[in-house]
Amino acid sequence: MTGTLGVAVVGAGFMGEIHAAALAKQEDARLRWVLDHSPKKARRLTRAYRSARSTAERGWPKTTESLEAILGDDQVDAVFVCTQPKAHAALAKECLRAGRAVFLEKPITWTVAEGRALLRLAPVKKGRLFVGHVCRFFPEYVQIRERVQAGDIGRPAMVRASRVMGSPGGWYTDPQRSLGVAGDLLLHDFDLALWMFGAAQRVYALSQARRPPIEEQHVLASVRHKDGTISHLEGSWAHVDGFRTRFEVSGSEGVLEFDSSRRAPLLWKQNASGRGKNLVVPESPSHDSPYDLEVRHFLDVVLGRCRPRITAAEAVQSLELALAAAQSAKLGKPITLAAARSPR
Amino acid sequence: MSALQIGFFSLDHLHVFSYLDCVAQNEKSAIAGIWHPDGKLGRKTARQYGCRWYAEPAKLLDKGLDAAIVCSANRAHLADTRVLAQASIPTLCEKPLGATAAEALKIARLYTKQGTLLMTAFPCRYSPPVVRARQLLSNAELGRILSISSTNRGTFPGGWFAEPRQSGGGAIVDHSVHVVDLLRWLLGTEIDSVYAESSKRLFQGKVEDTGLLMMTLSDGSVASLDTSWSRPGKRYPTWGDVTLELVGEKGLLAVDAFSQVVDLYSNRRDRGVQIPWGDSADAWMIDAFLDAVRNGAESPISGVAGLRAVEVSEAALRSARSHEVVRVQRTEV
Repeated sequence: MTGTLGVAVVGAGFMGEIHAAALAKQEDARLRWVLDHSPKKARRLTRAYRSARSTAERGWPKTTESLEAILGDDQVDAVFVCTQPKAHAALAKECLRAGRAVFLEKPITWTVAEGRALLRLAPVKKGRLFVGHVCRFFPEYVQIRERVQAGDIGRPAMVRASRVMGSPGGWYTDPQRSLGVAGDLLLHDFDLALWMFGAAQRVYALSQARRPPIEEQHVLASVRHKDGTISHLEGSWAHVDGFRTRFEVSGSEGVLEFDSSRRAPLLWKQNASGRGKNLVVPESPSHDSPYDLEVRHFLDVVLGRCRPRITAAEAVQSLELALAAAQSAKLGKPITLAAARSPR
Repeated sequence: MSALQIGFFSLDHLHVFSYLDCVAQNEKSAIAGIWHPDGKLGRKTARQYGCRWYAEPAKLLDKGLDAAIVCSANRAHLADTRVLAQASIPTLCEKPLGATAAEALKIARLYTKQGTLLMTAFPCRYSPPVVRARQLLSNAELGRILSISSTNRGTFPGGWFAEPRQSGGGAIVDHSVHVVDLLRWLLGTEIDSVYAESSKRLFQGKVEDTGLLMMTLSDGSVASLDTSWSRPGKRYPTWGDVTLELVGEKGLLAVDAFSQVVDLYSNRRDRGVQIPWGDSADAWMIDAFLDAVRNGAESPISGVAGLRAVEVSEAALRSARSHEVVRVQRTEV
């Protein structure tokens, strides 16, 4: 494939907007279609893309409510699926069958069985199915993984990951549409733990919620990796002090620590006078955001320039671990995972 | 009023040197003498504190003690406290109260039978940030507690701590009792079940050096506790930590008990270090012990509290072996 890649975004919600903004920065990709059941949302995303696009170009993205229109356009090479998770499997299947590369937002699918079915459609090596585990593009995690692999902390033994925030509301806290803290939020850290320390042997999790099952939910999980490393993961939609992530690895020769709240590359505080609420906004600015890096990487994979940083099979394993954690919390007992190939 | 004469029974546990300082510095007390099996360390320490070393526990007892502090290795607590309980000497016993729940139970019963004061050394209860947290929780400032994430990590203590015959176990036995006791004390609840993971990946010795406890509590909340010996001793700026993050219906309470420090970076040191300036929890614990002895009051931290914590750490050890959730068995003293 050479020249410009034609792209469509399906689902003009929060993640669709983020990926469209990243696409607007890529000169060798052009957004051709935006699909959403809400034409208003689709138009808003299109407008944002147009205003972000630095160079004038012919043929701005069109909005549609039909996947056929997108798959009938032979200039569409890749489809970003950013809908709610229950719709992922069917949409990805159609796009793959139509020969398109697919960027599937995480979680890969609603169930592990659906994820495995997709694997059969999209052989791993061809890189036709990419799953948006964006944390693998956050430089702090990349750095931690590199330091672990370089042996700086000796044998890793104990991992502590934390990802806490207030309630996201909306469909995220509706158990019919969302996989909850374990399957949605903490899925990031389950994926990071597998990426860094290899396959999981068993998982045990505890869950509490202010309004069960998943509204203002707080989850604590313990993962035993096959090599003996233990990961403790905390995820919360019940926190009050804004978004905070931590990741810490203790090994036989040292520790690695990251805490998003410990250092503030940029902290913007507005006082209440004349504005109503006091506002504190921490930021970690970078030239290319992790979302930009992720989209660039995906385009490079589609163009055959590199191998994917995450395979669809690994995304299924991360989902399997997250859902096993949720199941463990429900049953009140540990769950041993089926023998899985180490994703390392 | 004359100073209370305090006998020290064994210098095995490194906390003893802080307790010696506290007793020496507190005007309510004086060091009556030190018994320790190893004469070299015993004599040296006795000289340092201006007291006598005794080769036999009975000799120190004969001196006439108002109270005793036991800092032997975990497994020796039962034998040492038996002598003291029989002599009706009020005792502060280093944690864990026993190397096993059965031993801790025997110790607690010995003192109950004699009607003698037994205090378990849980100094974290006297850390001002912890005390303040308890106040807030007692006022129900957090509403119903949903979840607690906690740590009590440290550097590898080595020596008898790593010898299962003397310690009864590693990082789980050594560390988990502190925060388990805090959970019980802060929330006024019991630990119902424990699931635990542990490994020997840090030092590859005879005992576990990492420990992760996942607990359900009687009040409906859940808690995790990392008890690993995971602080790199040569380079880390401090010995370890005691932290609790409580998520409640009405907010979040984060306690970092040993964070009252200034950071020092000096060309004269091979690493940055933390210089503590907060109140000494040990000093306030010893002070509470002395007051209880003097006033014939109830134990500030009973043998039952010591026993309950060991019952949880023992359940954790069992879970780490069986990979099953273990219900905590609580025995009446």
